[in-house]
Amino acid sequence: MSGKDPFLFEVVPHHDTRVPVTAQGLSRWRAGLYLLLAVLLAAGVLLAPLAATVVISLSGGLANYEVLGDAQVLQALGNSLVWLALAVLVCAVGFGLAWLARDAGAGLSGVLRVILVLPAVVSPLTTGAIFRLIFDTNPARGVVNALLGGAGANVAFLGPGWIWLVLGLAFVWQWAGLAFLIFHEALARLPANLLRVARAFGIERRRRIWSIVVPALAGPAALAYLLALVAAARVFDLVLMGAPGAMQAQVEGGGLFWWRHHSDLGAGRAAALAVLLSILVGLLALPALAGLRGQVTWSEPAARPASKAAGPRRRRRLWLLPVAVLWLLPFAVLVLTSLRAPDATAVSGWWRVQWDLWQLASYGDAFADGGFMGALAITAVRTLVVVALVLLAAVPAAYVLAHEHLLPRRTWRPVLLVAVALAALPPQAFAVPLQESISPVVGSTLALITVHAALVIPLAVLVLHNAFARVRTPMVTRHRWELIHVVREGAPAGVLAGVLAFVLVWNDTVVGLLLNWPAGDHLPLLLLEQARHFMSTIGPLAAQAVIATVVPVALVIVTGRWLYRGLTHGVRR
Amino acid sequence: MSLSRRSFLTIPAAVGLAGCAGSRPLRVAVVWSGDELRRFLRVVKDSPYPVTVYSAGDNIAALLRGPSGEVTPDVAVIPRLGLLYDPEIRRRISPLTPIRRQPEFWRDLASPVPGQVLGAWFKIAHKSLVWHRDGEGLARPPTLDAWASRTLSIGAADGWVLTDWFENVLLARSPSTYSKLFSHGESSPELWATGEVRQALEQLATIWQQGVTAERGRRALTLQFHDSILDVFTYRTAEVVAAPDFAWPVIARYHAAGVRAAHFRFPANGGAAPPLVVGGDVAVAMSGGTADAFDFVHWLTSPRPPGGDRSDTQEAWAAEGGFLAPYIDASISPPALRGAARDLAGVRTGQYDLSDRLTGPLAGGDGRGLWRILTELFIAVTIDRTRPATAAGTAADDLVSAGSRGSR
Repeated sequence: MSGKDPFLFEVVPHHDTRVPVTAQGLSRWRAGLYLLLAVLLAAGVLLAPLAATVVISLSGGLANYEVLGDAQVLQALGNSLVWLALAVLVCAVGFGLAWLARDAGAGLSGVLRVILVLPAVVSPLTTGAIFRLIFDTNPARGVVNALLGGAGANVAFLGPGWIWLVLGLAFVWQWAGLAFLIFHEALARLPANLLRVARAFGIERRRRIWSIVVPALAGPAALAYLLALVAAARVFDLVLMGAPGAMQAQVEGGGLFWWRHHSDLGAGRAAALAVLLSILVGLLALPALAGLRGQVTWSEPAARPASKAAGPRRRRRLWLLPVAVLWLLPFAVLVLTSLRAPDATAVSGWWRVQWDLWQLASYGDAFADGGFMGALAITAVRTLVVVALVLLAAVPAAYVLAHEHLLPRRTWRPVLLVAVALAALPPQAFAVPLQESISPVVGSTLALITVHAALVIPLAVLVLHNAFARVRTPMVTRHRWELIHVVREGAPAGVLAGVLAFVLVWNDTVVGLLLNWPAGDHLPLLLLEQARHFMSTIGPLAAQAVIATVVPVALVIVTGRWLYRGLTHGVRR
Repeated sequence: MSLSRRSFLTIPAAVGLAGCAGSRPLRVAVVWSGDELRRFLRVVKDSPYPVTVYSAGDNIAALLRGPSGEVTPDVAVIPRLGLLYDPEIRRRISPLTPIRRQPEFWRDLASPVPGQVLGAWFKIAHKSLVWHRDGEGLARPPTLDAWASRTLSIGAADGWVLTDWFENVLLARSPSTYSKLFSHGESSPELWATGEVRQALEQLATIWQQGVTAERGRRALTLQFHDSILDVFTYRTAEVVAAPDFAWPVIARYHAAGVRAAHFRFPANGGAAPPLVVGGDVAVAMSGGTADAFDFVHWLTSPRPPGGDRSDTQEAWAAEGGFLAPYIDASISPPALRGAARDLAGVRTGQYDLSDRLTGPLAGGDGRGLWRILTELFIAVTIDRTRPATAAGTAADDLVSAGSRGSR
């Protein structure tokens, strides 16, 4: 059932090697049992409250949708559109970098891959803090204005208009690496033989591009676009941290606006706004789904002859050096800032070399009250429990979906679409009804864990399903422990799903804020509170951000090989 | 439900073991961060009750209004009086019994319902001060109009800085309008449509336009409160900054060598009395909290014996400056702040911060209500150089329509 199905993470084309017969497998009841946890969580936490939101928004006909007439709402939705347009920019930058790096050797592209992808695991809060610091209006603190100051200019980058540049760059920095990864892999697997043949037959360049290269890139492009779109639709904490308070209204999208105003709007109008937001994201995701459907299934060996270092190629590779430096700069800014005396960070920049100001006092401040340590520990425990729960629910579900042919082929596509839609759904769309339905337990850790898990499960099922479907299983006789076998073979995808869950939960701000849990044990919210006096707390804030960033970065570096394998192949062999 | 958040919070204290055993520390929610939070932690260290403090930041309203009483803290120190007037939050606050002995003005503020005192003031603030470098011959402008000659530093990135400006101008011009808006601002949109509000907005717009160039205006929108103080006392790029008494520790921390701070009162309108806008943080015990919660609020806000005792952490904070309280003697403050402390001790006619008192769509917060409308006014007159009368008209219309959204 591969081939035409729009799998997510379908970067590498492949043949379906399984036998097209329904093997005698689990009974329907047992198969249903495998699906139970994932379906219960997705339906209970996401679908039912979503339906409730739609119903609330329609109470009294379409009157609630007149919320569109409000100038502030329109401004917020317009901002949302700008953010979604930035998703295209992210793809373009990712593609451009992948094109530059297409002939880079295995070693170089491996290093580049790590450098470019790392920002994706940094919390958007931290990203916002870093870019706010880089573009600080005060030339004594902001490096860009310090450089411009040499030319006699001083620009209020965080002010009206320019703020888009700052946040746009932050957004591109954060997500272009994922697009790069996808395009880089796709370019490496272009059907080289076919291109060679076409060239030999004298087919002109433009036609070669249109009929071979573009179709081969459509699937990966759709995937990159979808990922960037989801990131753009969820822009929230980046604005909260990256823009000065008074500037936030100029750049905040519908999601943040909804969070600030939903109690003023009233239940019906707030629900209508949430539905409109979901529709907006859904509409913009449609081209991606079309692209995923049209993907090609050439099977081309990945092995290529060692590239000869010709002149133009070497020049192209030289471009990669400044890219790598630029991409690492924000990390350097954060670390260097955290290592300076807290008072000094307010009045001078990280590039000033004054040895007596280098110290660990900011780290001391960060841990001074014990609250940060507690939040770190509790967030870690909560995140690990969520990861376990996600795998517990998603692994059997993905296995059953991949190997049991439970559903007629015709219904498989809608199921997949629902999973993709749920993975992209803005939490604002179901927050209020969810909050009310679980209000007796809303503050409990158990409730928080359940909601987090439900949010990640659709994505995890997609990732795992893709890998499990490729595991070769015995044709006629089914082994009793086939699930174990499949999981073992699909381990890279399992690691990928686990790391995705970890990063999403570890960095979460939105769920914490939306569902009104007290902030005391929520690591990113602790960072956010520091930003009240951004300039005078940037030292300890940077120290806390470094610690909060080290955890997911280390995780990604340790599991790097598995992640890459999981993303591109899914299976061990 | 077996693993409730409450038990979970104590885990760090109990080193990860059964967190439910023993008495649970009081959970105290505050809004401070950085220096102020550190000072507050120093205060509660002396408390006879075990306490866990967490900073809810500007989201404290969401926390107190949250869907479940289960997760609200035992004690909250609330920076926005309006939250006491919010019907949903008010239900969750236990009235203090017996009624605490705080000055009448402050006690009345914390009584949204007559005869029922919901909170006791922990910290109060004087918001009608203008700071400048000492010894540079700057004197208080005799009238509001005379601001024009000064280079103003305004931390316009913080909405509350702009509302403080508006409140001072409005109070200087028309105390009676201020008082009406204070009592019924969110339920009577027509109050915002009066000529007094429009004229105050226009005068404010004029002051901003004259004191801030387009380039400085653009910069001002990126400056938070602390930054605006640096401009006067560290970089000397501006002459004056209107800021509350708690600017003092910031000046003390960052001032350039040789610079001393001085301040005068916000200018009056013509021959009238200068305005006095006050603010503060009120401590409340939440319902569901234990008796300890009441005792803690009492302990936190109980009057100190006259004379001063520097071993008391709150009095030590007051002596450092940036902390005024109705239960601490004015003479303990640093000499430069004693006048402000006395103003507050005798406050009768002064008015509480209007934007902190409002509820509903006019209530503050980044990108919301009065904060947002005044930010737009600031942008219009300083960057776009719109005529003050036009910009003020737009702002007044926005206030009326936001007000009517709330009373609908």
